Amino acid sequence: MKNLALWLSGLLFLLPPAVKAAPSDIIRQANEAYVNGQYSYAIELYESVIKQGLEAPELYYNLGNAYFKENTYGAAILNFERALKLKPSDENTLFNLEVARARTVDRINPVPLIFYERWWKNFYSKFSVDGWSWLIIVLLVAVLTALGGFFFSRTRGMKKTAFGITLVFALALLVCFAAVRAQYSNTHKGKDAIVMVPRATAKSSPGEASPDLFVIHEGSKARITGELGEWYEVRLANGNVGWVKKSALEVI
Amino acid sequence: MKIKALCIWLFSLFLWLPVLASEVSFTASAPSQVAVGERFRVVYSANKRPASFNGPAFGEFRVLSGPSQSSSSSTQIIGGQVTHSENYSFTYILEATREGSFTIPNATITVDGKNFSSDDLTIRVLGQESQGTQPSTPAQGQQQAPASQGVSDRDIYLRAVVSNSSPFQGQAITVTYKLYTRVVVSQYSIEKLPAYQGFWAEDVTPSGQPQVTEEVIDGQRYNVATIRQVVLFPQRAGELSIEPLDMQTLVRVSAPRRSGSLLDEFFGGSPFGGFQNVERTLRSNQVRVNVRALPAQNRPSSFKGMVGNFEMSTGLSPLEVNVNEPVTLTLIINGTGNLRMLEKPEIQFPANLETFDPNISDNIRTSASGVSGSRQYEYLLIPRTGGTFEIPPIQFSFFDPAAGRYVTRSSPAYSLTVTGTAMATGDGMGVVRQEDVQYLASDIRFINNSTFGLQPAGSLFYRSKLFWFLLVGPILLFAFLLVYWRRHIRLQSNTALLRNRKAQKVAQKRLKKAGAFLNSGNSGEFYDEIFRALWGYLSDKLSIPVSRLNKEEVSEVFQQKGVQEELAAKFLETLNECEFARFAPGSPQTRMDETYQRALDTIVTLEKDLKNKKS
Repeated sequence: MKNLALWLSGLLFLLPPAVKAAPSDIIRQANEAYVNGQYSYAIELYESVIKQGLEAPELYYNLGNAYFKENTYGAAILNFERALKLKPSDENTLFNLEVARARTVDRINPVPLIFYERWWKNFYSKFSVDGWSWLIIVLLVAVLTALGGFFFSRTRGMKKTAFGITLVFALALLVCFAAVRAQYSNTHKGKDAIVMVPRATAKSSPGEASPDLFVIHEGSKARITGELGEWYEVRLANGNVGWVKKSALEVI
Repeated sequence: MKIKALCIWLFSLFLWLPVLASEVSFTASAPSQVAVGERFRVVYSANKRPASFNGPAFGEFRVLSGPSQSSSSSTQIIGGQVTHSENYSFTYILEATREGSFTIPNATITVDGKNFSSDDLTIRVLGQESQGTQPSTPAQGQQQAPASQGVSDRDIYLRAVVSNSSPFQGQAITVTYKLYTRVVVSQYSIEKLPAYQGFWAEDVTPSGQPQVTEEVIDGQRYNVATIRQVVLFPQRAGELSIEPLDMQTLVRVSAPRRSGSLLDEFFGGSPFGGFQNVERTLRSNQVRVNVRALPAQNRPSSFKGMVGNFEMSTGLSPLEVNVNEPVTLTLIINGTGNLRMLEKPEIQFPANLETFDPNISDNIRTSASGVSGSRQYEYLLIPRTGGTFEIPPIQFSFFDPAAGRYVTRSSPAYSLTVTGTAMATGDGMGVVRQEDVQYLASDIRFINNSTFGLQPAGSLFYRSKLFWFLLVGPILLFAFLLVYWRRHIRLQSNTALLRNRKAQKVAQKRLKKAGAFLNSGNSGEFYDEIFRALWGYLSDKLSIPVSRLNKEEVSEVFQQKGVQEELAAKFLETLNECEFARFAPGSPQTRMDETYQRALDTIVTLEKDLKNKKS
């Protein structure tokens, strides 16, 4: 009888480790695995956390790193992009994404932006959509406070100062509204996808029989502009448009 | 009639005779039988100068030269009759390459705008055993006998021998071409060298006359000469074939005795007593080599394709230098194997150690047993900053075919101590250049190892209910506060006005009460009521809460409002009196009357005064 109990407790250890563990514990284990060079195990653990419906920019970043170390550049780029969606100006993620992109086959030159477009993009990419949203809330409270100061102050000088501050905050609030809209349409409205297979052929129309237009390789980024059945219509950064099988792509 | 016609016909025939005599003839001539490898001529001759000549395609025959054009003419006068003949010939020299019967299609010439073609030629090409009977081009001025009887394949043949028929990829093998002969070879030349496809070849044939040894094969004594020796390094795995080598020999055979005229007998053969040189073409056997691939298992990362057996020695000197003084790193690899294909070893030099391309010196011998020797790399290193430089161990791997496994030679790690600082004082030499941080390898940055918060996937604060609430909430709150505050202010100002208006009434009511106390003789209550009436009036009239009222404040306010000093003094005096009388009970009735009257007076005048001030 005692032996049986011993056996059963032994069997317990055979169960997968991450069954009941807390997500933060799983992540700690995964980080440990990464440090020890067990990248595939680390990937498994990170993915298990994501499967629980949780996310964090750091989680995607670490997962991307693990995929990179496994030479799976498509998945690495996908996860770096996901991390950037949540934290657009994270320097480490941007750097690693650049390194991973350098390992991919396609060198797609994006249509160049005009200088003010570039500035604007750089500006609104400073924060994520949620970052801008919180900033808006804070600025709104600031505007109202300053406005209250304007209404309730008794002396003329105080009123003037309060009015000036109100104007400045209100202007900043408007800029934030514009930025959150731009960032939202950049990251959330349109869907971007990463090529996950070594090579994917883009067709001129959704169907196996239609002529091939171009070939994109693992890790390339494409914007999804339409879908039909098993096919996505994609637009590359250089302006090429074609139909690619859904199975070849993974939406960021 | 019939006879007449015949006569005309004959006559016309006679008329044509001269024309027929000058008819163009174009013939082709060639031997009907040749042997494989034999050279022979094909001559096309015409008796008129052709305007153009179109040679045929010779198919299986190799054209060695041609067409070479020649012409001759002769004029004969016989009995007054002049005969002129011309001859134009086009000569090809061909070589038969394959056994069989072949047809050479006709050649065409154009004479006076007409085309003439020769006959087709059919030539039988025989194997080497039964040599053809056509004589070849004479060589050395000696009479060339028909390559014929007396020399068989058993008498002379060429063999290719491989030292190892299943080598590893990159392992050296030797191919030796040996000429076995029982006859005298007076001359030989190599016609065609194999291409050695798939191999890297190095000729190691000993110079000078080939060494001749004797060997007995099947009871026959052969002279064996090593014609050629080649060291081959297979470059790829799989079955590779070494193509045969073609050789031309002149074999001296005793001339056959001909049953002919005495003259022939007398002049027959040569001054050497009945010997003839027979041309023989020899071809070595094709050799197949099964090249084994190097095992993929346990292949070291530093393996660069070297196969053989090597040793490596390294040296760094000196081990301690000043900044900007050169250091030499010597690396010698010696042994047996494809040393010439040795790649420069990869050495991870630390940064700030300036390196130059190594000086390579070879001492490589190639012999029939393979390639051996040594290769030396000399690196010149110049440390540009002080400190200790660690040169990691240098790895060199090769495959040992004898042992069938990979071997890695490793050098010790060197530590170079550099003293001094980088900055030079005098000349500009050795001033450290400012450099960007060098990226040694392109790798990603490390993971984020901190603990971080997780959020439900896909949750977006922007446009969420909370977002709208936080956006609209403060605005509503602000608007509410604003409205409330406004109302409050308005209300407050209204009550003040009301109290102002009612001040006199309230005071009079209190005074009336005080009057009642006066009549009943209750002095404490009376003074109390007077006091309250005065204070209350003041509080209502000036919108000052009673709690904040004191005499200093009141006099100040009176001053502000421009109330007559006299009146103010009277008011304060009355207040003082009340205060005094409140705490000293039992004051006389007359005094109370006076006070009552004075308070009433003060309030009325004050009311008037303030009203005047306002209007």
